[in-house]
Amino acid sequence: MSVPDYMQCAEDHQTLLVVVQPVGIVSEENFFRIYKRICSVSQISVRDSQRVLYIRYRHHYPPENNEWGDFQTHRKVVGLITITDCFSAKDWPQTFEKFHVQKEIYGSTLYDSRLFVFGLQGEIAEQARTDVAFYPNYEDCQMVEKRIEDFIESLFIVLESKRLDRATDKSGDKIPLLCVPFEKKDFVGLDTDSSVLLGLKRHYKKRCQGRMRKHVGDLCLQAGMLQDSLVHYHMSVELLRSVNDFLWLGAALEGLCSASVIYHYPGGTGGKSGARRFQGSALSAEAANRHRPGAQEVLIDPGALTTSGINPDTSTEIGRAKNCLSPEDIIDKYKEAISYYSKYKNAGVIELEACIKAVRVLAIQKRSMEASEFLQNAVYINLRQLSEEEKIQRYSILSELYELIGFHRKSAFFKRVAAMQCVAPSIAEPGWRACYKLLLETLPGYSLSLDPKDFSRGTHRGWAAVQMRLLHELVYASRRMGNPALSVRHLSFLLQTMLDFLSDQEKKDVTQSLENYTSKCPGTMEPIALPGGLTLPPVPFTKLPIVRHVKLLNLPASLRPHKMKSLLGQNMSTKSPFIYSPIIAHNRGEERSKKIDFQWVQGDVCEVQLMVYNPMPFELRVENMGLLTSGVEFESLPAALSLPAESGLYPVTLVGVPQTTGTITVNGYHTTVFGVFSDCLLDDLPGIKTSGSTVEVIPALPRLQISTSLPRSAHSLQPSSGDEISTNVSVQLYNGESQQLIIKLENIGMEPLEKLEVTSKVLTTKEKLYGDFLSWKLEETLAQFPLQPGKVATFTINIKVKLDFSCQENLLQDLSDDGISVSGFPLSSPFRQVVRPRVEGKPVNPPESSKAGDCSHVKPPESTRPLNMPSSLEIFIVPLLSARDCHEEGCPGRTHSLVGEDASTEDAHRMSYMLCQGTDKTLEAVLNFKYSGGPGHTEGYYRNLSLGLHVEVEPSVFFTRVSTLPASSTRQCHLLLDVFNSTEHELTVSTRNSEVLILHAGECQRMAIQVDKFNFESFPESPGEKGQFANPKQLEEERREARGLEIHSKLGIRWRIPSLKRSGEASVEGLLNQLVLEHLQLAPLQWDVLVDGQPCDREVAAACQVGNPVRLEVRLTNRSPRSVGPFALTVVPFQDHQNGVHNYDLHDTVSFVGSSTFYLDAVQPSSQSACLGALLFLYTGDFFLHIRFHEDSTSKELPPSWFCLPSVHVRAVEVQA
Amino acid sequence: MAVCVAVIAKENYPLYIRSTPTENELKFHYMVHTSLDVVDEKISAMGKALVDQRELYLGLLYPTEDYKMFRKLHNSYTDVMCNPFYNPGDRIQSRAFDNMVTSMMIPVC
Repeated sequence: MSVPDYMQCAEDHQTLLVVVQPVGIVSEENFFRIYKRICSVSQISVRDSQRVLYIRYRHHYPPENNEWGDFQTHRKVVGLITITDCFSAKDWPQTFEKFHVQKEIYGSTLYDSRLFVFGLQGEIAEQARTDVAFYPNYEDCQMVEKRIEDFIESLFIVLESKRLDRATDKSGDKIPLLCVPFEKKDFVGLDTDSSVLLGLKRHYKKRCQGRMRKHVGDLCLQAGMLQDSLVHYHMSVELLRSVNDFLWLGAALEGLCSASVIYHYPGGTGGKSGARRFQGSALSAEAANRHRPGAQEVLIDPGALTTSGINPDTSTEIGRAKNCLSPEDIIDKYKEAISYYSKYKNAGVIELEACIKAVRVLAIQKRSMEASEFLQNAVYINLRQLSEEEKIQRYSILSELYELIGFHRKSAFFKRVAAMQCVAPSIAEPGWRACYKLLLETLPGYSLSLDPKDFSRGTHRGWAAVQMRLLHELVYASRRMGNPALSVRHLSFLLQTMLDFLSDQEKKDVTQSLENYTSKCPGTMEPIALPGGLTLPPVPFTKLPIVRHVKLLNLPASLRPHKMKSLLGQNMSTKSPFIYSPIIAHNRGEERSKKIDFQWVQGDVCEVQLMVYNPMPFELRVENMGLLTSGVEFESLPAALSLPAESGLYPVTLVGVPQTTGTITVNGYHTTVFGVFSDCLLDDLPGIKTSGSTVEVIPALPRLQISTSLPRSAHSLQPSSGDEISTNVSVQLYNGESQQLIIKLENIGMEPLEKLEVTSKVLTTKEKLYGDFLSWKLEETLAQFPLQPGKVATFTINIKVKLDFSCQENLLQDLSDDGISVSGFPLSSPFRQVVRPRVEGKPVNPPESSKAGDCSHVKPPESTRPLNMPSSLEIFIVPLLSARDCHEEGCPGRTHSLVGEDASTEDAHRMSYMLCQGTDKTLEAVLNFKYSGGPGHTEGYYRNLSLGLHVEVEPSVFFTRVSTLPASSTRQCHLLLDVFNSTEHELTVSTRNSEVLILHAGECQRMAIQVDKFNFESFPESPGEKGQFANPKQLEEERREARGLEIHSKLGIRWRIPSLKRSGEASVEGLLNQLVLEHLQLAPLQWDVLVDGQPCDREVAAACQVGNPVRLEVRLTNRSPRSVGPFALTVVPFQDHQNGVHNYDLHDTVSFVGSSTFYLDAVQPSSQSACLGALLFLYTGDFFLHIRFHEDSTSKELPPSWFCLPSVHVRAVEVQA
Repeated sequence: MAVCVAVIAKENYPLYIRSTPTENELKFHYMVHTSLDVVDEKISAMGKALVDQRELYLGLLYPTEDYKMFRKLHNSYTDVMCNPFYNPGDRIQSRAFDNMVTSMMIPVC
């Protein structure tokens, strides 16, 4: 007995073993067809009794196992069915002979046998024989089942007779000793009859009785008499225990267990044929009960058992003890039986099978822990040297049993061992296919699924070492199976899911072998279907490289489409009649979260940026990396990249061109890494950051390219400007210079350019800019439209820079340090209130404030100046005061107290030195070209191209000082400008009506320009329009600007650098302050003196005759908005001796006709009043009239500048005869 | 004394596993892994038997108390869990725990 039947279960004890075998050459197919039909007849109810007979069919049974038939009768082959092909009658004897030979093998134990002959027809077939059945072919054999039933009935008859035969043996008769094969030699020569020792004889007899009882129990069980068998087993156990016949005691106990199991679990313990058995067993249990009514209640009294013999009538014993074992007892008895078996080395198979049977029972009882103990025992039962096939079978069955009791890990372990056994080196033809199949079955036990999606959630947690081993084995097995696609798939899976657990060396090895495999069979994204019905899902390499961040990029600013704003408000949801509803807003918010609020344009390259990371310790080559999109036809332009080892986050830009319009969704990306194609969907990527993946694609738009006549600039404008500038150009200009910028517009797209709009924006600069910086005429350019693809149009822009021409304050500060100090100057004069900081609202320059300490000494010690006033104030007071002085006091000596006409050359050098230091100023502007065309235009989109303009302004001339001097006429005055050439070239300055002034580099000269006074009041002021909201300061500023412009246009100062052939304007706008302006302004109260009816306000003297009275009229024109008066005017004549002496003592040379004093009551706004008088010159000579003015009321003081009192020069001549 | 020490998370994966004969680590992995069947069985058995689910102690697989092994290991494990920087469910990488295991593995002569 060496071949264990791992499929055994407890209820097999009640079956009869029938061997079905082919004889001669029978095709396997045909044999199994018949075998299957035979097997269907596995239980038979015996006709006249309620008993059921169970048959166990085997097509292969080792004869040596048959030898254990006495030990346990279900191991005994009691029936033989042979199947044979026989096509001619002459073969028949030979066939029949073979049948007999076959019978011989199991001959000793067979109760009956049958021969099924297929194919034979004729007279031999027609002879009626019980042991032979003839069938014409394998199809035409309806009677097989019936035959088998008959056959089984015949078996039953023999069985029943044997049972009765054994059971009715008289106790006095000699009972043979039943032996197992290995015992036989022990009992050889033992003469039981002539044994001298009575004890030994009795001992021997008991042994015989016990074994026989057990045998009868087996027969009863097989014959369907469960209760009888229990009784017999009990008696046998008692007998054998007393004689320490352990092997048979074990068998008796096992029989007891089997019978109890059959009773308790009619569903069977074997599992696989449970349903069928259930019906039958239930029937059998019932049948058994009916057969012996009240059998359950009856008890056996063990003490009443006759030890001398076997009582044929077991009914006497029934009713004394509870025959059937309880479920707990079954296990105890199994344990006991197994411990007895284990005493015998030769009974290993019996022990093993008993273990298995016990495990099956325990599995039914759900007592896994105890079951595992039995299994553990079974594992260690050492049978003889097993063949490889047997080992596989053994491990497989262990695995199955562990599975049965719910020990999945152990089951997986043994299954894996079985798989490895399939390909053991000692096997000549390794069964890789079987190995692979078994390995796949172990996957659940190692909680490993082959779907990478199960691994995508967070870090993998599992038995990495064990799982990796299994995956390696799968890879190897599939490769040896000759299925490279499969091994690539497994290897990819290993790499993808176990990456965190692989050492650097392993990573290298795995990728190396993966590359080797893929060189023959590239990895795909197709699921692989396995024969077992399992499907291997594709393994995208989402970790090679790891993508951390996906961002859809907007088009570059110059290509970005913008929606034209329409009156209807396209952005508003048109579905709702409400302008605002929180529900709609909410919905929109949701929409927005998915959709990105920029657009891509059909036909233009779009970009998606990925932040990728290479986790491998070596350079990773990613090929064919492209985007996976849906919604819009998209031409993906794959990229190949090479990521350095263990790289940090590495930006990768994937590009593509949308070919149609609509809504495009970026679903993921595809790669080829190590020859494996992967489609990685963003939804499956763990821990990825994405800011939406859906973008609208709008119809195609033209593309505009700009090139200019100016060089490109390295400067980029401040990003705070908001717009992104595609091109920057720069130009260097002198302050006041103009230049033309020619822009070439080229349509480099595929659509015609139909519309163009140009706007400009000067970026906020700290410099004050005067006049139009940029100006253009678009009409000429638009005439060339629509611009077809590839065509060019030109566009011209005038650049004019006009910055402040005033001198920097820090320069003056430094100058004032030179000892030509202003500190002694009386600043507490009422003029201080009039004086303002030069540029209103201008922030205090940082260098200035930092210099506060330096210039503090400039402050007059007695100053009452508030501290927050800019320090520039005092500096500017100086020229103003000097102007006032010269005007008011008529004291020219002090006018040039600070910088004289011939400013010292030392100062000039100093100035030029300082001006060269970073005095360049920059102006920046952005030109916006809005253009559109093609289908995008019809959809209402346009593009915006920005051109950054960077102008560096170098100083040309400076006006370091501005002051006024009164001209001879009250309607004119002299504007004194100290012009400083800050360039390194010779420079000429000219005005509209004066000659050219030549300035050398760094030279400073004063120029005087005679100007007519301005009547600023005539400017249209419309405070009603804008004044209401603008604050008064702004109004004032605006007014001043307007005045500045007026003055500038009047003056027309231009400079020229002959050596560079450059020229430009110079403007005094920036330097004009309130005082200068007031002096340049026509006084609100205008006095006109008419001598002899002629206005007399010029250098030219009015001529009059001596002796004749000259009419003198003084007119007052009130230009101010309020009425003035009363006034008194006194005309005082004097003579200028031209040496600084004025002679007022003229009473005898000039006399007045009438009063020399005029009174004026009041002058209404914008009205005139006149005073008339007459003068009589008594002598010839040059006379001047000084008009003195007396104001009546002391209450209201009018500003002195309001009074522009004319001086009158009269020349008295002799009367021409 | 001990040849292999493993700490298993309740979701059935090793938080910590270490064995002394490092050349045959996989064997111990298999051993520990398969022995979890018993733990599973004990847990499921307890689920049926006990109403009080808070009792999580399953008992000893083997009388390791000879060496005060469990107590030491459990104390050290508690220390690891008390570490605010330890993320429950992560592999145990504490050096103190490692040292403790090493001390348990060094055979006492």
